[in-house]
Amino acid sequence: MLKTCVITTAIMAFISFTPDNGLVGRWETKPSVNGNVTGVVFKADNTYEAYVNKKPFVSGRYQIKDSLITIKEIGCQDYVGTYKLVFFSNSDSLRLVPVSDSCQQRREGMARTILGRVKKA
Amino acid sequence: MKKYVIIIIVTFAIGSMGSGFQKDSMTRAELGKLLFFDPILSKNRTISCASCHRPEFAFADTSATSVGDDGKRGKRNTPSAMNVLLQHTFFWDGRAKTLEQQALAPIENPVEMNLPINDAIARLRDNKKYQDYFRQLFGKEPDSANLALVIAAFERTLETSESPFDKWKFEEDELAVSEEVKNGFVIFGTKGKCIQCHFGPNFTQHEFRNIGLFNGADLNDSGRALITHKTEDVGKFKTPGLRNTALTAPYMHNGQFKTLNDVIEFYNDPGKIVPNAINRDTLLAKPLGLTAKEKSDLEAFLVALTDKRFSKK
Repeated sequence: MLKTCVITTAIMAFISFTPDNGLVGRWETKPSVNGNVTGVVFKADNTYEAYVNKKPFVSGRYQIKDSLITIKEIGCQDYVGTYKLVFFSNSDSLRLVPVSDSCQQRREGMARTILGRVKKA
Repeated sequence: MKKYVIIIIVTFAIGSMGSGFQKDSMTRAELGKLLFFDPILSKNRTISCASCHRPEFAFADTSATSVGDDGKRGKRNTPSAMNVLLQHTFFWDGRAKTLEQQALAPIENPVEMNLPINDAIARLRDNKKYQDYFRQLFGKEPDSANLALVIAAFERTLETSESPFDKWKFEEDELAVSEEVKNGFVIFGTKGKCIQCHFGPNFTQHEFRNIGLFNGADLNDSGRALITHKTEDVGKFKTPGLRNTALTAPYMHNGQFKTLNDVIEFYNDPGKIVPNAINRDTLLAKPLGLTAKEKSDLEAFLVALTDKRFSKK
């Protein structure tokens, strides 16, 4: 009984330290006209990896406060961008609405991107 | 019962053999592949696209400039024909805006395949095999438009996304690359400044840059300016992608650097290698000051961009 209690407590402790913001996991766009798929993996350690057609192209760190996500990545001269997280379709779709981002390329790319949650098989 | 099982197995076996031996229809990419490897599209019928875009070297060549029809040579290095799906322009000077435009140019180029497109089309129309394939795919005989479509379709299949780097970043496998590679990636994005131009899924932003290989004397290829006729474009060339770059030596538009180490040494201090460059990009104004370890790690990172299809079995 004591053993079970310890295990349960440990699991609960682990869960409470794991970010549960609905964002952690793999997200991808639908294929574009040319068949290109853009995706991003938000990891529990507040880092992310973005890719196109399974080709990684940028890594970075993110922070979430309320419904805002702030991202900082290598490659856009360390520019910081802040976006509003908008979940929809039972939280399986996501839009990142630009709030501020001095990286024009990223802001424009994000503004037209809708991501769908990739569910594990 | 046993007899029926044997009959079914034999029927299946014959069926699968038949599908392997007789190909009734093919895709555009498959036809493009046939043509890519067929010297029928060169004047002397000895050179195919694959003569210079060699599969084992990531569809690039191993010499500074490739040998074309009648032994002639161009003045630019053969770029890899892989990972072109996301490219915006083609050739070192960006003179082709689509892969279809690019696909026909080497056929006509006097120092490459040296065959006027009309002659190439006539040859394909005289060839029953190709005549049939084009009719199956397009409902008409070969012409320049559908020839360009099939070659481009094949080139679009040459995507690679299974390098150790991809395994590390996409599959989140921390053991896929060494600590040297990881450190090299950091150098790539920071002190090395490489990422300023080599950013993106294929490690290029598709820009045209003057990296300091134009001096108006022995290095006198004007590059992008030959297309735009703008003075500020003199000496600019398209930033190549870096996937499989370990296989595509020699490097740069003129193939003047034989190894990745040569390339890194150049970027570390361009003025030391080409002291009289004209309008070298300001990003390269100062030496990078990389240590020997940083250079070595950077090279390890570049090697880690080699797709697993090229791994030695």
